[in-house]
Amino acid sequence: MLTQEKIMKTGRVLVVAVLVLVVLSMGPQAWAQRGEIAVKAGKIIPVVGDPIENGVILVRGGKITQIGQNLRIPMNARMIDASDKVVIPGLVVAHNTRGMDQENERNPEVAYTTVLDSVDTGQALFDDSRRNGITSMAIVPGNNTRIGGQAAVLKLRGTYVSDMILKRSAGIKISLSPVTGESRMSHRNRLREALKEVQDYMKELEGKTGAAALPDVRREALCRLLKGEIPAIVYVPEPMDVAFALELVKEFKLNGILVLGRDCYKAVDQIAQSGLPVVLDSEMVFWERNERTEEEKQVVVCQKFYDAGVKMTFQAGSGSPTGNLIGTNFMWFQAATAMKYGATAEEALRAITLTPAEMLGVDKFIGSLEVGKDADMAILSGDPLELNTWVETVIADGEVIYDITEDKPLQLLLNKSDKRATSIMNSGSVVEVRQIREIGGNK
Amino acid sequence: MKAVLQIKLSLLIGLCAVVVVGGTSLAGAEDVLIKAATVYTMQGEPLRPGAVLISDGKVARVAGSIRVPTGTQVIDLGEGALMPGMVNGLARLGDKGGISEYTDEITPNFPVLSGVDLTDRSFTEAVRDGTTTVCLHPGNDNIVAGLSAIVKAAGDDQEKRIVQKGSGMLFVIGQEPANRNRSGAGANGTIYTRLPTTRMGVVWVLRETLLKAQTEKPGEWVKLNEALDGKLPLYVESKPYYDLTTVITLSEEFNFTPILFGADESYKVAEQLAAKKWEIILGPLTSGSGAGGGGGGRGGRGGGGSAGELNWNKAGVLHEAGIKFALSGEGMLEQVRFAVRCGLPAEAALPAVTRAPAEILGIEDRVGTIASGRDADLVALSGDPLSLTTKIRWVMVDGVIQYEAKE
Repeated sequence: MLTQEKIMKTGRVLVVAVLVLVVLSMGPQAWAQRGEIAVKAGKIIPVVGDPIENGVILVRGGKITQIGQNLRIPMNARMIDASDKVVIPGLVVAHNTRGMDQENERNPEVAYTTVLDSVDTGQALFDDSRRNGITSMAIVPGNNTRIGGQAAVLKLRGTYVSDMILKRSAGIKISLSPVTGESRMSHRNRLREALKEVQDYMKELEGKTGAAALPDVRREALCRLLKGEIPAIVYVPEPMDVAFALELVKEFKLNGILVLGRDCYKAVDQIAQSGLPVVLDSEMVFWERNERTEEEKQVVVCQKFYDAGVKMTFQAGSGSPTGNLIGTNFMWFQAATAMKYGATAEEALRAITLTPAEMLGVDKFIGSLEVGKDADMAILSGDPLELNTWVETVIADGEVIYDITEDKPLQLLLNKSDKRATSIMNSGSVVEVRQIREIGGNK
Repeated sequence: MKAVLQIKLSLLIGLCAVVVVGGTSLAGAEDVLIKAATVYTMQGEPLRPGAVLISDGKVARVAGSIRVPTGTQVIDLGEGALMPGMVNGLARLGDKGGISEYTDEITPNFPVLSGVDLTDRSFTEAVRDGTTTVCLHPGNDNIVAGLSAIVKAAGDDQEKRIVQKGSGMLFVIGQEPANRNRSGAGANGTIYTRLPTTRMGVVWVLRETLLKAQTEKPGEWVKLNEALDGKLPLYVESKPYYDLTTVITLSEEFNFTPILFGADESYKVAEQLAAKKWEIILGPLTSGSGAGGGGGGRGGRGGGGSAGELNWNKAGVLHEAGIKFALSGEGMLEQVRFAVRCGLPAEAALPAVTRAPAEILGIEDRVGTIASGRDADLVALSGDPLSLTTKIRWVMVDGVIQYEAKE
């Protein structure tokens, strides 16, 4: 009896304790649900519309509710003070073939597979990306499978792939690069055959009703591709493949995005005429030598496409073994290169934010700082695309996903008694930001 | 927008001037006056604005402004900047037919220049990057590798391009000379029976050589003894910190003072190296420790890992330790920008690719600064050298524009 009473007593104590805990923890959770945040910025570059000096961005439930000058900051809102900093939309990557267990499937036609089954969020790529202000990224199958799997657009918050999905079937990869041993003739033939087969299959289905009218699981994705519901992300390795790529897009009425090899600039006029958007190769500036005369000329790929008025975005290189240190490994560096060769700062920034969002069909949610869009932004120490500008805080869906003051690896990389590095580290948006992070962690 | 347009316009005008004047300066040995918004002389504060008078391939005068002498061509860079041509202290360009002799590890008398084609394309590439002087080294497969040489990266007269033949003697202290004797290294030498196949072996062979040099003084090793006695610069290429500590040990045993090359992990032993007052030509910032011989199994989980420990702020650490150092390799302007991004103070940036390497290599009376009497090796830029959007407009070597960017 005694023991039972004791148990009951302790039980009651426990219940009370749990209740207290629940009530206590409800506080911050309620905050999180209401999720009111106010980002006070020295300068906001929304990408759509003019920059706003000394502006405020109000966020509720992960969306931007208001943006402008002299906004009344709600009492409940958590403030992120970036009043001496610059706020830009989170960067968007339209084509990235890393971050997976294996990016190329060995079977030649696998449109039914999806990168979601091979994304490895433990890879350094994801931390590197957040560190550089990227909030959304299309993970696309590699360039070595004739009809690769389905790409997906991930939001770089959360731990698991399932937390991160912004768009599931963001595209199907079609590669025009023949695998070793195969000729281009046979590659192209097989590709056309495969698409034709699905086309015929779709016609067959047209006469049917009910469950019988639904495509089988193996062909479902390709059916949607041919209906134009899923974009075709076409890898075009060489200039000689451009014409075929355009033909293919036309013949099958594909919603095409071209991922170009570096020499494809030679077909820039043809590409411009097609009106298709392109992802440029990571090598955007190089010297080309004439085989006969040995004469060399510098080619600036982004300039060629820019002059031709092609809708374009960039991709980052995978770089040297030392990881992301110099140049083309960074999206912002690629944009700065475009600026170096004639693009304006606005155009260069658009090419790594809104343009890729449009290409991926997710510009309703991301790509610019506008009311109603996701609260995805990067807080920078200075103007974007400048050498000494660092990404200090990154927010996705109103949640802080990167904070330079807590970036241990970066501290190690810049460390060893460097005073400037520590000053970079200490300049983040300190206290208030941490509170938000705690709230975010409770979700 | 308007400002951008204006800058573009002035750029265009500047370029036109270059095209017109640069073309003719190739022909005659006329005097040329270059004006720029900023001239980085590397001697004190930059001149804003500045003017540089060039006569007969040399800098004749440097001042805030110079009255145009009659018969002088004028190149006006407008908003642009002028800096000295860069000096790459660790280069292996134009290698034709091998620069490591595989029949011996000790080849002190082998001059690298006998294996170099000075007209090779790699020199053209260097000039386009703004590099006007390079120190060429024998390959790093030998322990006492041979004699390095300093040359200009461009010029019609190949003899005149040579700044210093046998500018120094290169030792390689590390595992590179052992790699080729290991099984699977190919048909070089007699595998298994030949020293060294380990890093231990490398150090042993070097120690034996230095002992022999100092005690027996063989006639054919005169140059080697000169290097040990400080009469000829002694270059030591060494990358990871444990090799650098071996260099310290050997230097105390044999009493020599090296100039360090590569030295990827010198930041780990910066204090010791600073105490020794050794100077360093740092390997490319993109290179890892060198210990693993490259990335090894990349593409795996986490990426990197096998590339050794990284530090993006190597240059900043050496600067703070008070070590005289220079950057080297390809794309030095890009490298120095990233060095600044990662912590090197801006005022220490340009010296690390111009004046410092010239002084370390002992050629500061010819290159590395813009001063009267120096070679007219100049780089014209569209603006601030440390801005990502600044372009190289042209590169001049010995008074002749050898590269011009086309718009």
